[in-house]
Amino acid sequence: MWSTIAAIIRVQWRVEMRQRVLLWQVAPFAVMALVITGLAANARSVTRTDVGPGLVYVVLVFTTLLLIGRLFSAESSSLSSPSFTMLAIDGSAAYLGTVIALAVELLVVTGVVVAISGLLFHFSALSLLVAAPSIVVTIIDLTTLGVLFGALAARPGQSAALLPLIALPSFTPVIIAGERLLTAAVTHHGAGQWWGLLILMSAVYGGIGVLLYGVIGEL
Amino acid sequence: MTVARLTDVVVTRDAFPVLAGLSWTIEHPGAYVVRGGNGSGKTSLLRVLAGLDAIASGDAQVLGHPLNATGRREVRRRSGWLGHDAPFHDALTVAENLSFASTVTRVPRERMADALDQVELTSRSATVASRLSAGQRRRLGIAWLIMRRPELWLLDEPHAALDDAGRQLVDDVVARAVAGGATVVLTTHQDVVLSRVDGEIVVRGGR
Amino acid sequence: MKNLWWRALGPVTLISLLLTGWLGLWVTPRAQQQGDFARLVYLHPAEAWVGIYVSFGTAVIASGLYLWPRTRRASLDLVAASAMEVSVVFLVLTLITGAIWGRPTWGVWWAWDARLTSTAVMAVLALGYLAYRYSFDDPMRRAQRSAILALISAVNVPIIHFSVVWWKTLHQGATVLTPGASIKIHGIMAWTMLLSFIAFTLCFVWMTRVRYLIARQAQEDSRTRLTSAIAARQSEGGV
Repeated sequence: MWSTIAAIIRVQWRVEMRQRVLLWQVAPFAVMALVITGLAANARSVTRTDVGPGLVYVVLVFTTLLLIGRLFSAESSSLSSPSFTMLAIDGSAAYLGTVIALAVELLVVTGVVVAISGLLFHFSALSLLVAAPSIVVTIIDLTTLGVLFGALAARPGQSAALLPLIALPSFTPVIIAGERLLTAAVTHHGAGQWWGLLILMSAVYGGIGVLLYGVIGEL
Repeated sequence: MTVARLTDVVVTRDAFPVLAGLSWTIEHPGAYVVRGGNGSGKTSLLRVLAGLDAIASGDAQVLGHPLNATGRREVRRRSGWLGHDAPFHDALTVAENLSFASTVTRVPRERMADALDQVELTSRSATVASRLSAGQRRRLGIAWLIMRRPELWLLDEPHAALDDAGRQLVDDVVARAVAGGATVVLTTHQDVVLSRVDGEIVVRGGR
Repeated sequence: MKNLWWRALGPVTLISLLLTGWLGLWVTPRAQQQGDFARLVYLHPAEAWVGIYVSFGTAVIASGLYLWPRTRRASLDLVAASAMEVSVVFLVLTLITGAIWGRPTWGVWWAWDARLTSTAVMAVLALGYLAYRYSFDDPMRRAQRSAILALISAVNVPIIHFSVVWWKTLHQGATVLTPGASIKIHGIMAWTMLLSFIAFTLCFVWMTRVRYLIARQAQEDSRTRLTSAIAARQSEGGV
């Protein structure tokens, strides 16, 4: 199982290193989205600590959906091909490998987005450092859920709108928890209960993914 | 042991009966050819034998497994597929692709050199898959099957995109697999002549 | 006997709904603070009860039973889909009546209230299930994948609820079942409210059954079409 997980992670990262989609396409998209949402929310006003953390997570959620959509799309992956199915890869290992590989890729983009958000919304470096653990766990949650819903939505010829429609309602608690914890860090307040929710989500959906990912791929 | 027994099998895709009551029995290991025109149901028959598709009605057993969810998983584990696609990533090299496939299926990686040699792709082992021609991709798919050594080889139009040397290669590979005790089922709509054929079915109108 | 019950269901549902309307509009008194708007208490909570708990719960239980090999039946998939459609209807009605009630109470049609927001998220969840379901042509794949989606989504429903409650709440507290189990509504008002719950639950059963019968008929029609399609497919071979 561990060798399969490692092989999947290695392949995904190697592909990324060669194609550089994350660096040249996804990260610039995320930064631009942050600037645009900041403009739309009139973030130059004094309320930027109110809207900033939320905007960061709006951008990260759409970046997650973008990466997951790309992972499961027929053009960039042979995951849905008969030949790949015939490899009969262990579903649990495939899920964990995909989640780990994608979570690390997302964390790279998140690092860029959070650093830029510090400049745009005047978050101090210290508060972002305090928020870092919660940001990491929130990204793991988004990936855990996203890969599960990505597998459910993956089908040749499937509309790109289906993944966000089925995934976004389930992202809601993660977005709220992440936003609350980031707000707490930049305003120096406590928000302890949200940690429990984030960890609960990782455990519940990680468990469901490990159990069902292989089954979903076979249906 | 009977390799496969299909009785009145109906398979639907998007509410269309791609197989419409097909019956076929493969009693012994050997080389079998599925012939038929475009859209006759050849690939669908192969997909059922591979455990890729569930049957809507009828009865089917492959490699001793009924084609329910558990049985299909086991059939997939023991079969090899060569189709128009390949389980390979365009951004990875020939060797990286084979290495990944062997790791996730626990096939010894030591078989790679011999397999690449048999399909004459040794000199291309460091080439990225996207730079391979259609015929070379097909050879890569065959190399993977040589490495995997499945009990049931399912080859969908294996001669497509291959030159004369490639066709001879398919013939040799099929002969070697059958000599090793495997069953090879291949589809074709061409008048392909194999050195050994143990059975043949002509599919028309999904049966 | 079973047929009699099903035949009586429609009229009984209609009578109970009319009775709720009559009691709620003419017999029960006006509220001291909210006036006639308080009469929404005979409509809004019962709609929420049916939309969130009864319909959604039925869809999830039917999906679970469908996935369980021992209880798997095609009819359970149709029950799940029918109940989820009814759930969408009641969730939307809950949101509309909630907004109508919110206007005089809070001064706005939409407040970022915890229950309102989590109900809206649930409505999108149910709509997502239906959109997902209708994206499949293959009945077996549709049934299996939709059942998995229903179960995965159901796990999240309490988490969504609590996260939104923690986030913010403006909603008035529970009226009937409070944490201390003390009932805040009495007399004819309590009875009318209880009747509204029964009437809307009956309405759910009736609507789900009608939708199920339509879906079953559609399934039988598609089976007939498949038989013709098989014959047509076979004739392609000239046999």
